Amino acid sequence: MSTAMEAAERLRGALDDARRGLIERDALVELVALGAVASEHLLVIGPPGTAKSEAVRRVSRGIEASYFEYLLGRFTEPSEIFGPIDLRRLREGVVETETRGMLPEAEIAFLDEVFLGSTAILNALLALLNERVFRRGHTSIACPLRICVGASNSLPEGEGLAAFADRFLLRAFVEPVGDPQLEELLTGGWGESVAGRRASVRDLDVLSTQAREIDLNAVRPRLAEAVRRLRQAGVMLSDRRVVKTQKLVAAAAVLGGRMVASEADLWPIVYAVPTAAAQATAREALRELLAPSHSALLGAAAEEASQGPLARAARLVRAGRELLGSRGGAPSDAWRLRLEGVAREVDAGFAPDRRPAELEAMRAEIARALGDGS
Amino acid sequence: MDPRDDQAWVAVAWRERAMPLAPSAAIGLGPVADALGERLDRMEEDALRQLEGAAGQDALLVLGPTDRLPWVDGVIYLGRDPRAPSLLVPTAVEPAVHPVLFESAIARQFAGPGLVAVVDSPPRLVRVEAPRALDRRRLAALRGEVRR
Repeated sequence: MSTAMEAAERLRGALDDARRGLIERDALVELVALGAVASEHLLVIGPPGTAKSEAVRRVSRGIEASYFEYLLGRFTEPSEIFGPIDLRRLREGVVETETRGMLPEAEIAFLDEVFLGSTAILNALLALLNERVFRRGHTSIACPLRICVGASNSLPEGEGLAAFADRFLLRAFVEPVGDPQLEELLTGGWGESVAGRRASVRDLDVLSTQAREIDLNAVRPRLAEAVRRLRQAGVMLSDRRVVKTQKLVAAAAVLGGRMVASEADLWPIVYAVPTAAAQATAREALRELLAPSHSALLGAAAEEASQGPLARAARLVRAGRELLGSRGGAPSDAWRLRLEGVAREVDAGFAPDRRPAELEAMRAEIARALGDGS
Repeated sequence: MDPRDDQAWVAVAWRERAMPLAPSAAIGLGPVADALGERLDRMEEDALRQLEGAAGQDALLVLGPTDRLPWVDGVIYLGRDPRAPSLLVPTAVEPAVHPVLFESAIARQFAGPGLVAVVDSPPRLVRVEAPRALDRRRLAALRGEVRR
């Protein structure tokens, strides 16, 4: 197994742990990984208390990354984010920042209410996000930041903030958990997440390096076609976003175990569309183009973006395997109901002659498990 | 084909839906109707009351929220296509004719009260009387009404 494949396997373990117990946040967890491998940042829009920071924290823990998290406010001082001025050096006439434990030294960062920061904070953040360099006074250091996840209740209005928001290539929109999943939310939220490290920042770097070598030649025409279809549907992406989407496609390919990007890896383009309404339009406009989407590691994100059958089938196979693997000695009614739920989604979502082989095999296993009274 | 029959054969081509419908009903035909009835009988009373049921010719139909619909091997899931809202149609496939025309053609044959459930494989139209809320007594009556 190649180094990149081993790194991807370890990252899979970290993402599996991160997802466990979080409800309807699988795609968000996966987008953090996608952004980190692509070296692009993620903006998450959603109301407070929707596990935005928890998803990022868990990914960070899973790869033992140095992590910085802060809730910005209108009166937040730059020193609260970047570190205090070193007073000893100041007496020597040198303005240096003590960055230990602060954002400039973080490998993964989460900034809540990111648009509430002052001009001073946002200006310093711009350079940090763009160039991975922190500059302040005499301080100029390279930052190890792999991904910054910004969060807000809503997208900013006003050109200045919109320009800052544009630095976050990936966009995710989250809502509170729906009624049908409330029981799962209560169960998942009661236990504590205790998963340890499964992968490392080094694994991210191996995958990032691999992503830069991905062959995009075969998929570029499809990507251009996707942009044309978006434009026809009234969804405009800036030239910068169009070009940078290639980094997301390359990252999706390497996380999908491919050295040559294919049409299976185009789905991240949906997450490069800036607004929720435009993303919904994009899904519809690109439905046919994204039908072949699937990803070994980022199945939920691929499915959410493409709503395609392959990604849906992969998720159901994973869900079925996980449930069957958790059967234990005396399966409970709750377990049976969950297994029936997977079977129901398979039968309702796929005509018998359209089920991929792996899904059909999984369905047969489920039917046996439910049929033998387990 | 006698439009007074509760079941009728329909020759129409079917294709995969781009996006499956959310299931709002499940129908069992023949032996699967028996299996579906047994599965419903094993449900807790509270869960059963969240469902409605109806019987047709060799068919048992249950309606309810997606996550409350039971599963047995061979059951067919149905939903409502907003373009043909009076019909219960397969969730995973759609007719190759426009849904509006499809609904109109079926309505001409099956005028009157009740529901029409469309099944693609085997190709069938199943008319059932208006579904009613399920409880143990009602379920037992429906299982007896499944006509062979």
